[in-house]
Amino acid sequence: MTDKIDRREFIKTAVGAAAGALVVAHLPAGAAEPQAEAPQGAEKIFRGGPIVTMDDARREVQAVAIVGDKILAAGDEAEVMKHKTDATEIVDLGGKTLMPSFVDAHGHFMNAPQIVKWANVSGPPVGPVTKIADIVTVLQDHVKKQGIKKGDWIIGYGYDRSNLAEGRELLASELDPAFPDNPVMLIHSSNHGAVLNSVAFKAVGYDENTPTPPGGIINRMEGTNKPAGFLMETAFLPIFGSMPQPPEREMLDTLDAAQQLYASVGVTTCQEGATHAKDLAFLRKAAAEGLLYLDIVSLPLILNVPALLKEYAPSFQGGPMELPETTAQAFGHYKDRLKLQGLKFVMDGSPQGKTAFWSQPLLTKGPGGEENWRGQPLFPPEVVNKSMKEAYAKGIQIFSHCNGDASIDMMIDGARAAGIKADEDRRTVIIHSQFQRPDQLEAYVDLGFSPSYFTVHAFYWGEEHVTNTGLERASFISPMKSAAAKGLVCSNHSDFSVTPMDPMRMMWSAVVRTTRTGRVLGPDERIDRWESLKALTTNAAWQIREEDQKGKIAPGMLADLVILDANPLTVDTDRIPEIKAVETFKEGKSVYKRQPA
Amino acid sequence: MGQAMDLPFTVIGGYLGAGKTTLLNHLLTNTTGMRLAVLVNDFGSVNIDIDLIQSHDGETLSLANGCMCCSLVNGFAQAIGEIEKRAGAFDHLVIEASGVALPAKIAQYGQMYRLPLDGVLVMVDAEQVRTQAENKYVGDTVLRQLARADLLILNKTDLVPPETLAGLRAWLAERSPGTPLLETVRSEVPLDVLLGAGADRAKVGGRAEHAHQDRGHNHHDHASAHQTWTLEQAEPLARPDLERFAPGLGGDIYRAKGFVHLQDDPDRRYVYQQVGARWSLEPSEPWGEDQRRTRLVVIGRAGAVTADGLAALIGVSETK
Repeated sequence: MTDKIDRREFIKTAVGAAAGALVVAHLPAGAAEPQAEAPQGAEKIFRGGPIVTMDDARREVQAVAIVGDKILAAGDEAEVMKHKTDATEIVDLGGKTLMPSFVDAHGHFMNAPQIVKWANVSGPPVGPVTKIADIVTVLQDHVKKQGIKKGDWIIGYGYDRSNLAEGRELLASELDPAFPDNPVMLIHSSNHGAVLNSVAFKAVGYDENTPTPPGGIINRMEGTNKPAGFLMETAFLPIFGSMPQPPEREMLDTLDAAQQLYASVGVTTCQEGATHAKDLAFLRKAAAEGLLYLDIVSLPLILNVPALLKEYAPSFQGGPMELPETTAQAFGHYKDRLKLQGLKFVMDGSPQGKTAFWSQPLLTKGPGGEENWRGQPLFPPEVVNKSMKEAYAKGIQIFSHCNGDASIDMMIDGARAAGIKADEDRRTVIIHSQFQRPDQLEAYVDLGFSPSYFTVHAFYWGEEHVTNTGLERASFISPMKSAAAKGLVCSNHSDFSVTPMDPMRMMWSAVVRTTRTGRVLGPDERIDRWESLKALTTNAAWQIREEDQKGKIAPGMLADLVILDANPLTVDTDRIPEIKAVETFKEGKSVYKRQPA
Repeated sequence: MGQAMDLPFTVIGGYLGAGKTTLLNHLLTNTTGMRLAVLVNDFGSVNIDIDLIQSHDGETLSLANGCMCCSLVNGFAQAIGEIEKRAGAFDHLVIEASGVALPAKIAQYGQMYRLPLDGVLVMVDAEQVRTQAENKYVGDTVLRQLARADLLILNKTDLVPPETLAGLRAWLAERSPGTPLLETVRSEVPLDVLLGAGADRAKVGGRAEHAHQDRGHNHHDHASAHQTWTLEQAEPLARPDLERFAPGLGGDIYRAKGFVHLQDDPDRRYVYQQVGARWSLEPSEPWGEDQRRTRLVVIGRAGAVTADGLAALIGVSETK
């Protein structure tokens, strides 16, 4: 898609096609091609480059025909060409690679409308900043591009001193000359701090008389008590919490740019993986207005269930953590491209923030300087067990955020207490599963748990994990090879916007597992390229019960496709992260086309 | 943001089943005239007589007695925002920490909004706490909750035999050395012990119109097991004397509160505030025309100290 009008046109067609799909039974994956006698006419036939199917039965084909929203045929060119009519468009790949578009296995779509309005002041590979002067340039470009007016907030994300050649925190006084009339806030890559300019300090009421709150940091100018620029933790959180929120219309208007964050890297199914009640209201509105052209899978937060029930089941009289009998009806199907798939549990925090919950203490102190620190669960086991039992009883799929092995143990205990077995096909997804222990793999098999790993962690935070947990524990993070060997279906995710939406870097990280210093973290857990791509396509589709529609090129599957400028199966390993999407299709319609440089 | 609110807050923590919700229900339905804002994790567990509810707006419940209950489901910032909107409408803020939260950490959250911290109270289930402390998931959290409390409230003491209770006291003293322990049943803790409410409250809150001369006396409430002492003195106190006073109170004194006439800054009031071992001395309004006089109200276990003993600690001449 190149402009907005096209996209709106497409939305109408797509909605019509989706409605039709409910009536016309689609062909299951891998089914025989239509009868040769009366071949159905194709709308488009792709040929002329590697076509990677992600189908174990036949990994590569010569050509693919599509019609409407589906794949009509895939195979040898001569066979597929039988579907050509006068109206068929032949797409010559010119040596580029066609494959199924990517399924976001876990991330936070609701961060996208925000991020597209913010400036990226990260260091490579996430952003362009290597010195203080770069920050000013990025912000100036951002102001121009976004048309930010005098007095409006300028917000940047990904700020981190460690990316700056100067090796020190940016000062308010270094932002003031270029931004004398706008408050500026550059959010730290941890999301726990920020640098403010002088206008921003004034706006939030911080000055030399502001005391540093317990558990917080306010850097001061040398020899004075004047805030220097950088704030952290309790000195920052209340400021962030009370930032003005953009009006809903403005947020809805960002949805095109937000979806382009995904479409431009070949992702056509996005996950909103921790949905609050207000987020769901927003997404439902976006869907009803026809603003979604990619699929959004929402996982409402279990904590928000009472609020959601109040809105969607006002007559429900049950107690806390109980679900109405009809809950399952709200899940598992798309309406205007929005689907609720399961309930999101959150069991612990993050390993880099040392708030994950491990069974063994870290080698370093806790986030508050605690000795013998192993993190904490976010909920007591009594509450977890009760909630899991209720979700299972009502037939709702569970997606649970667990980073440390102790939080995984709690999920295992909860499923055992509920009497769950693998053959029930519950597909309980343990999101992150990062610090899983080898012995927990067997429990995943027994209980039908499926891990969604986070292999880019090895790159972004691998060295910190070695420092905090030791080489042995750190080397087993996201153990995709061991899990696959047990027959577990594994996906891989970016946890957007914790790390960028960048499937090729995710694939690369699963293949090489190198840290920022080049160390290979857990060489035994490296997987081959085919498996690493499955984790981003068909396996991710399986976890949201869409494996018969998405993630493979085969007749009857949705025509969710991406053309890449190089073949990820054959390009030099080091070049995998550089592979770019050329064009992305959602159900046969182009939703992104790369502009020539 | 940026303007400090003059609203003291208390954090109430403790593991599941310790009686936090029962306590919060007592607080919300209090009839002392103290206007409380209470932040809770889960609305569902708040059980309030429907006649008392004035309005129910989203995550906020307003009561006819001036109290308000606000759910933390949308996060701390939003709940504090609700309180800020009604600045001046409340005398005290109570924040419920979830069963696995570290209440001391929640106290930092309150302080980051520049609210004055009254104290961290941790409730303990007399029947279950030792089992909880051994739980492989939450044991270390339970122990951390105990260790960082300013005041421990040992609840459900009627459910354990006396010999168990004695052992439990010793066990708790080891896990939380020097922290006062208040024993209770069915979460029945008097408001003055819990939040420092009582005769001195209005004065400490700084509203001069209520600053009448209270007849301080050695009050022994037989129904509960606590006692109130009032220390008064016109002669200014030396700072080092106060610094000795605070740690000298010991594990049987729950809280102390009042104005101090300070030797090195005799023209203005100082507010003295103590919960367990946590204490503070903050400058306040000038005395002006008022009589300059130290007046401290001390609450502790009945019979734990004598009035003269307390007075000797601080060198106060007129003990009542």
